[in-house]
Amino acid sequence: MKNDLTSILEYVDQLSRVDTGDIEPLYQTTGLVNSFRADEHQNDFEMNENLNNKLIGQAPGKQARFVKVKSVLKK
Amino acid sequence: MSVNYTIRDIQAGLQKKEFSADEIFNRYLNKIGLENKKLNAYLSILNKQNGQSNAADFKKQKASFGAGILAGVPCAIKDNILIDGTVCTAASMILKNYVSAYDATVIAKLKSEGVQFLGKTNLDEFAMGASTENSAFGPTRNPHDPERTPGGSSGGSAAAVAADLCVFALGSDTGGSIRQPAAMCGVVGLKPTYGRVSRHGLIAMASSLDQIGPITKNVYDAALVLNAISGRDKFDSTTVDAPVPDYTSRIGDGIKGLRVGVPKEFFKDGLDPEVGERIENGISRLKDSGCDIIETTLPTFEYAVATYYLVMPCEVSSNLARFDGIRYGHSSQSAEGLIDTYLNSRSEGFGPEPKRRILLGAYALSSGYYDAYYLKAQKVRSLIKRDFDQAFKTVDVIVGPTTPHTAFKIGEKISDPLLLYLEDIYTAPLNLAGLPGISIPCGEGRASGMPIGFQVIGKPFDEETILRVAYQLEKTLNS
Repeated sequence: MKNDLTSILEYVDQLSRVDTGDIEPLYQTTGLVNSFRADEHQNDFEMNENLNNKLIGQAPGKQARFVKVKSVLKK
Repeated sequence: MSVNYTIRDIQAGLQKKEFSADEIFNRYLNKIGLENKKLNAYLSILNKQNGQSNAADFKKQKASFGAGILAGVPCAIKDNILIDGTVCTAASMILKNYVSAYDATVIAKLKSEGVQFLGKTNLDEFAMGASTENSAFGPTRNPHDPERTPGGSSGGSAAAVAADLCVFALGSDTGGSIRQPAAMCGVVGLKPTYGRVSRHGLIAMASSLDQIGPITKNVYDAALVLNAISGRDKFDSTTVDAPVPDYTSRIGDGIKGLRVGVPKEFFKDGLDPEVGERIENGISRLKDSGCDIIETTLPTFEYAVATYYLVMPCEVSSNLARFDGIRYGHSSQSAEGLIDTYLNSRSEGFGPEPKRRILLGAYALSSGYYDAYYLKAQKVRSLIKRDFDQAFKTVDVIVGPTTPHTAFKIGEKISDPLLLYLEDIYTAPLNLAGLPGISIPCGEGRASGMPIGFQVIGKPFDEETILRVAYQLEKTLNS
């Protein structure tokens, strides 16, 4: 893995040869800005027993309707 | 079943009552049962209950055959796209038993058309790879030569279409994952413009690059599927509210007078002569069809792969941080505290390629390296897009090879990740610039005998023109 990463980093280093002086970075290509939705109740997903089970039911550790998380601080 | 059904064949068969929707679905399931062992194209098979669209939807479509041309058509879905109530693995151990809680938008759209889902197809783990060898559930084999890979990452979808184990399939394309396997399996693959098709319900890899698109047996079918899956979606805020034309309406209009750009950078070292030969042939066919062939240039083309292998891993490292071993997916049994749950679950659940990319991305984003790697790459990305913008001032489409060579042998490149990364040379630039591209078969290699893909690249949201060029070229090559 170490060797793989070294050779990949050596490869991508070729970008240092490109003159990007006053070029702005391009983070996205659609040009969309502030793609907000209306601040109102969305009822596309109504929570019911079935959906609750599909979502919470897949947690590896759970108790009743809650997801169980291991202790944050070591004992 | 020896017929290689297209979408229109299925529609005609249903109309003439040669078979019912149930019968054609079951015929394909039987065929998959017989042939999938050899190819490993499907990871899971759906049944009548979860594979077939809601009976009401189907009846509604059936009442108006012609409008609902996809009604009853059996298709395959790449296993990183969610179908409600069915397992979705992304070909990773970390999601081995994950059950989708909802339908991806593309699936909901196909369901409303009455499409039938045969199963979920194999891929490189989290769509990371170019050979489908990175799957945690074994490689897919190329139907043209089982010793070779089908390409990737949508290798299962491309192989399933090529072997007629479905009528069409959906794939996803982050750096070439629809077009490259389509080229290597001798079928059609279309990556739409970034923002054309919703990714809601697609397991995210690199969010500024990912697109969903069709893999089909011909260009017309690709247009039909694109019709069904395109459009603005409130669940994916990157989708653009641009009108969706009927992509079939002008597909046969001809291409006389169209300006076709051929970048000189596409034909340098690294392009296998047997591929170059077929591409040149395709270009001369376009000329015969009345196109103006114009030599053009993409000066920063040579930096696209390096740019892609910085931008993409950075986004991967953010996207895959959601796998925490707590809410869903694999959770380490050996972990004692919270931090061990994160670390061990990921160490045990992710395969080598996702790990490589997560490490690379986290490194390139880290303080002290951010400017030199991530920011630099995004600036070069600007230049790559600028090159395309410049070229499209004088040409309508750009054409060239989809891949530098034909399908390689299983095991041939898997030990050298960098070698596999170079597979994306002709495809990744489009993702970086957000452009649409289609790969169509243009013959077999003189030496390898394997299929070769011809890529047509378009302006943003101009899928109509690339489909028209591809349709004409397909017709000319088959005549």
